[in-house]
Amino acid sequence: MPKPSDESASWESLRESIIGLGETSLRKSYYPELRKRLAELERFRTLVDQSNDAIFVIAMPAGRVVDANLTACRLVGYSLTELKDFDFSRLLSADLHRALAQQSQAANLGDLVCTELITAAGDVVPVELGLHLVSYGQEQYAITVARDISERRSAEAEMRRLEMQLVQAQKMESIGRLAGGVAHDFNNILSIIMGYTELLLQDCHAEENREALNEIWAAGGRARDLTRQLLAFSRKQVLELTPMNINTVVKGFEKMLGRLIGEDIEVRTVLEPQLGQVMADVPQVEQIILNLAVNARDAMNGGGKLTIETRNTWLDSEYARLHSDVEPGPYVMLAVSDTGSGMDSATMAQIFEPFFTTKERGKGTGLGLATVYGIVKQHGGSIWLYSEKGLGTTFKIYLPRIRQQTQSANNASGASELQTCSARVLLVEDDAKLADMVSKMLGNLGCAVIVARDSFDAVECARHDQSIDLMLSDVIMPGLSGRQVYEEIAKFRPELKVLFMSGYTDDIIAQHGVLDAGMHFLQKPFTTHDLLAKLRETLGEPA
Amino acid sequence: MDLRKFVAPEFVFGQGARKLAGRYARNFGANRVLLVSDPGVMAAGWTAEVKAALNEADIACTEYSAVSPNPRETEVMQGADCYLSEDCDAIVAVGGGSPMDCAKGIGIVCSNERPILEFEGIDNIQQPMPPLICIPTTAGTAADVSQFAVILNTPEKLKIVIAGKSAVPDVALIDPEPLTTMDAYLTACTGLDALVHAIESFVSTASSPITDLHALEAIRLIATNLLGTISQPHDIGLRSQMMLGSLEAGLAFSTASLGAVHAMAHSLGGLLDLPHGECNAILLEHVMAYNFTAAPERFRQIGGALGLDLRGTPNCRDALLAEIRRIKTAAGVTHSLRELGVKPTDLPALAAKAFKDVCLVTNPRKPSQADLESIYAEAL
Repeated sequence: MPKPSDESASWESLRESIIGLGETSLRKSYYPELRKRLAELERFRTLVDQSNDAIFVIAMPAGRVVDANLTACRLVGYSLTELKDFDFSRLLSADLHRALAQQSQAANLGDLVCTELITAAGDVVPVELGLHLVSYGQEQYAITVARDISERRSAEAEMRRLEMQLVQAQKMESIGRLAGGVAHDFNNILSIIMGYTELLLQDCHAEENREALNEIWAAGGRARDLTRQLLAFSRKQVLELTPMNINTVVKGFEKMLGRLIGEDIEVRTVLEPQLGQVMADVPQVEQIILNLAVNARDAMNGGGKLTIETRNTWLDSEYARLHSDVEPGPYVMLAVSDTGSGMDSATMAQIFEPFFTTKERGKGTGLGLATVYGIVKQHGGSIWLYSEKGLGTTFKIYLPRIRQQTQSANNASGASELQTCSARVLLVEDDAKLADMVSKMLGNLGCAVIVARDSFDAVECARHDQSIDLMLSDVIMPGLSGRQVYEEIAKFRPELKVLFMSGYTDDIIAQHGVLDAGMHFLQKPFTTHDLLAKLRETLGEPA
Repeated sequence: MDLRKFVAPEFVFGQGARKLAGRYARNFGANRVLLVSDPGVMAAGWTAEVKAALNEADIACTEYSAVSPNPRETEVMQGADCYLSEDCDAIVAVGGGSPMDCAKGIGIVCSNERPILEFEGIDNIQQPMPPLICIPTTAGTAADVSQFAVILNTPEKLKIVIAGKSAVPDVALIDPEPLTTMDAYLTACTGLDALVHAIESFVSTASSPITDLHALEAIRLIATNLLGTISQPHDIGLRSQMMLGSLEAGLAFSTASLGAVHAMAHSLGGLLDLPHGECNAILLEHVMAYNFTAAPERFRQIGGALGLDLRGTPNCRDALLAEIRRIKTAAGVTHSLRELGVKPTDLPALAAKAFKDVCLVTNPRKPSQADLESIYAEAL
């Protein structure tokens, strides 16, 4: 619109404007603006109503509720109209009201307080309450935001209950073990006492002595009853071994594990569908999984991944020779892996000792892994631990597999047949004892073995010995990793065959991106049979 | 017939109309009104009376009376500040053109949140102002029904015209009783102002049949009653006729706009801060003399409305100008511009400012700046 002072504004256009038929000269109304504001208000109201938190607007200092959002109405079970007649203190118990009043006087208004609201139905809802004072016109209001923490509270209670259960179970376990042990020996002693008392009673006719012997016999009976009770209490004195599938136990536990372990840890199960059966006591196997899972959880403070795997496996005589208490034969493997903090070798050496713990005082009993160890041993199984500081830990438990009807009788003999491999193998393994064992295994198979001192030495060995057919290497080692050693060698020996071995399962290794698809991988622990098969596969020879 | 619009607010006319202020303010949803008046109106007691009426309707008042005869932009801004800081939600203006124009300015600033001088011109008001109730206490300005507000730009010594449908009040409560406290000279100046409104709107190039009706009737009412009401100031019948004349003149010029008299009077008010009604009265005959040839038939009708029988009169122009001079003299408005303090050296500047005034665009004859200077010289 031209101003009259604009020289250029034409006389005529100004006259037209005065006559007032232009678009901008129409009389304006507040109505469109009102509708816009009302729509904005509606949007704002929706925003407030759909908040997860309950919001109350309270007139101060009277304490009357003047507004509340939908969440607030639902939380306390009153309609907005009902709430508007309320003194907010009606939603609080008397003592809480007093405490809040004091708190607001202390000017700690921004702070959150945990308190409880009383609903229309008389229920008590735990809430986290925040108060902020605002002034609008002449009035002062407290904007009160209440967050329902019932779920959080019950989750905490559930967690506490599970922990208590666990502690209790472990306590019972050790008491039971003690009681069972004592009762067992005591029963042997009692047998002698009562047996000889009975014999004496048969021969003795002196009434005075018979009376004394009867008393001894009766006291022995009472002692026997007592030991029976002790045995009943310990429960574990006699294992109830039944044929069972460990997969069933793992599946039954999955849901509870999720709750026990917490949301920040992902629980994964990799179960062999055709898993063989073991003779085991079901509650004990549950105890094993529970203890290992709790141990894994505590190792993964900032969250992580817990993997439970089952697999059929065969431990051969070579493995048995290197592990004093292992019988060769078919086994079922149960592995529990975490991506937690891992442990050093000093900790690994002590980990199964009773009362050894790396946790803060009061946080752990030191019996969890000791219990697992005991149960596994009691079942005639073995437990194997592989851990690398910072990468995580894998526990592998081998329980003897019972023969199933479908099983081939030739399986065992197949492994013992004399088979050879004449390859020249470069062995790279940072654990000297393990290197020694694998070297012997390779030697028994007929391989020529060059043992590298470390990962750098391996590269040098390969450079100087052109006749090496294959490199057998650990994956995770100090210095260069197995993958890096291979990459270095491949620069001058691109055709060199390589077989990686690791105590981590290939699944875990693959997750760390160490192996590409198609690379050869041997799972520790392995039998001579396993080793030979993998060597042949890698060398491209027929099995 | 060309397209024409007629704009007027709701108005209540008659004795006691001012007492409806409370009812109207309440209907507009007001809780606290800014009551704008000036010291003269306050002294006469009309402000207090309206305030009482508002209070009776449970409406609080914040009074604002720092308004000069030619209301200044600073007074508007100060009033707007007062309105906002006191959390007012409506405006009631009691008084002549000055408080009513100032009240319009305050309303415009409050809802548009910009300095008042930015609204100069036509239709530059984007947001409607808060509810505005006007209670006129003079029979002349008719700002209570018009779409105009005139504000003094003090730094540039220029009266700016703000025009637009958004500057029309929501309701006018037009009551003749407050006129009774005007002295004879104010009655004369305001009455002649109304006469100028009627004459200028009738010859305006934006006039229409509906505005013509009001303009001619206004001329007739003022010519018939002005001198009588000056001599009998308390005759409520005469005051009512004058109030009606002023209202009809307002209805006419609000839509048809004005002409050179107003453009030149605004220039005088801006440069020398002279009273508006008196300037109009002095300039009227000189501008009519200049305009006559552009609309002789219309001027002849004006003569008829003034009560002249111009049949057979060879020189209508002279007869008409003589009648205007007679009325002015009888009303006691006899000053020349020189007597008001205008110097010959002021004329070029006055003409330059008048030449840019928006009221000039509907003048029946398009003057040059030199023409305007000559007219000023004649009125000197």
